Amino acid sequence: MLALRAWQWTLLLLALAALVLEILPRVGVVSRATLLPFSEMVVAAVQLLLRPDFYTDGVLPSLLAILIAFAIAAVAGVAIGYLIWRVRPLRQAIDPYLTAYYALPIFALYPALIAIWGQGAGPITALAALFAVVAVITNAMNGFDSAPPIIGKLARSMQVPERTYFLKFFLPYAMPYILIGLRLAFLYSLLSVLAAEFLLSSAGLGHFIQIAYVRFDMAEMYGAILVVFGLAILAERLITLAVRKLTWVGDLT
Amino acid sequence: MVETARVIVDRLGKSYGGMPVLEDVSFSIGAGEFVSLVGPSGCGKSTALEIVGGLNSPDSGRIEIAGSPITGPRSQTGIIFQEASTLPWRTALNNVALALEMRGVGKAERHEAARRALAAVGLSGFERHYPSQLSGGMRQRVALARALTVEPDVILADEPFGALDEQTRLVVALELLSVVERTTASVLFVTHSIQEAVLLSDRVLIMGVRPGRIIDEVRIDIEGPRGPHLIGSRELSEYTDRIWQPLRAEAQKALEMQGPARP
Repeated sequence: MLALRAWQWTLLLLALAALVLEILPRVGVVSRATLLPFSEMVVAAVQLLLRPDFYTDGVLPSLLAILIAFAIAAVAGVAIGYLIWRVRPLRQAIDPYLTAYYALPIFALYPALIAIWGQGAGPITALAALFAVVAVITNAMNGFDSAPPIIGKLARSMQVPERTYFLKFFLPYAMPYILIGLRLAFLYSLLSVLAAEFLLSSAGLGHFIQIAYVRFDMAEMYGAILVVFGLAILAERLITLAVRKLTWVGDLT
Repeated sequence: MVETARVIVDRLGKSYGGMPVLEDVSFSIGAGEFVSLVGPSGCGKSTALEIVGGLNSPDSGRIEIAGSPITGPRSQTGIIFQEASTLPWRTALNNVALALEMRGVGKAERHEAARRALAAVGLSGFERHYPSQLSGGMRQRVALARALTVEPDVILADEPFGALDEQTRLVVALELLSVVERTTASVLFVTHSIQEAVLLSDRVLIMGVRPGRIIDEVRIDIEGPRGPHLIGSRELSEYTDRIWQPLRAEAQKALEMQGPARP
């Protein structure tokens, strides 16, 4: 029993959780109006996955917003991170407050963003990018800090041009940290897009769940939640694997 | 000596924030000569090496290598740094090939040169290893191999084995010696280990502290090849004592300048 491997333990715990979720509503401990038996959630999830409008109105708009927000956060994060890291007064002014950023209820800006862009994908994407970008900034700055001064001397002794130094010496040193930032940025984008869609939107996975909830369609709501959880975990695993593969194993240059 | 000198350092002066670091430092190194620079911490020996390497500029005085004045880095000077300067995302082979790659040498040619250099420092078979998979001594041999690929006529080494334990350090140092002996490169070797300096050098320059200046010079005339058999020998310890005499007062002075130890 104790000789189980990690993944076997994971499966066992998942099975246990499913069993509890199955039994609680069936024996009446929790009302079926509140919680559906797990098997019915799975059936609803599968049914959703077979519906074309689930993709056109749910998955695709969300995915598009997540990817755009992530791309903005990635590019802007590394650029802003380098700027702050490089310009000393900027760094002294901003650095102490960067860690406090995630204590800000950034979602409170949502009404203001709607006032600017109107309801739709614009404010959702902007909010997600705003939420994700700081994770890239802080990690990129850690990465730039990690490059030892000796490589500057090494590059100068080889008469390496500034641009080559940046691309082939400096940036690769920061890359493992930047990748950590990118991983967080993707997850923050995902989280932020779904949460914002839930609040106020006419499309996306978050909106899909919200509508089902308003209609008291418990099957569709739990089915969609299950799909979202599955997608989020899958995305996280894929990124973690990709980061592990890219981090200095193999020639990054 | 001066006529055949490959490296000429003439009345070098340098100060940081009004504090003189180097004052009137002059010496020369002949072709194929191995010269060590010893002195207490903070005597400016690394600064002197950086100036010879063109990485730092002097306030006064001048450097001449192979007849040309030095105003910046020079392509035929190979530098081995104090800390590990291998790039962690490159294999040993790609680290050694780096210097040639930066000069635009083609892949096949630079890899061939890198393989030869790795073999010269005894690292054949480690081409595909990453620095994290190598010991500290091996990493510094990779750095040495990289310096060799540019076919240097001057090699500058700044306490390259400072981070290694005493045993490894002497073994790797003797390897360095046997490798550079096969070339006609002039070597300037900065170290704080008197034993290491005596073991490797044709000549040892002794530096005093603040301002850093050369207070003495000892020629090492040991018969036969240098090797581990010399460690603990009477010859070696006589030279070590001889160098320690002028250094002792300087080491004391350096200690006092750092101020009393805080409890």
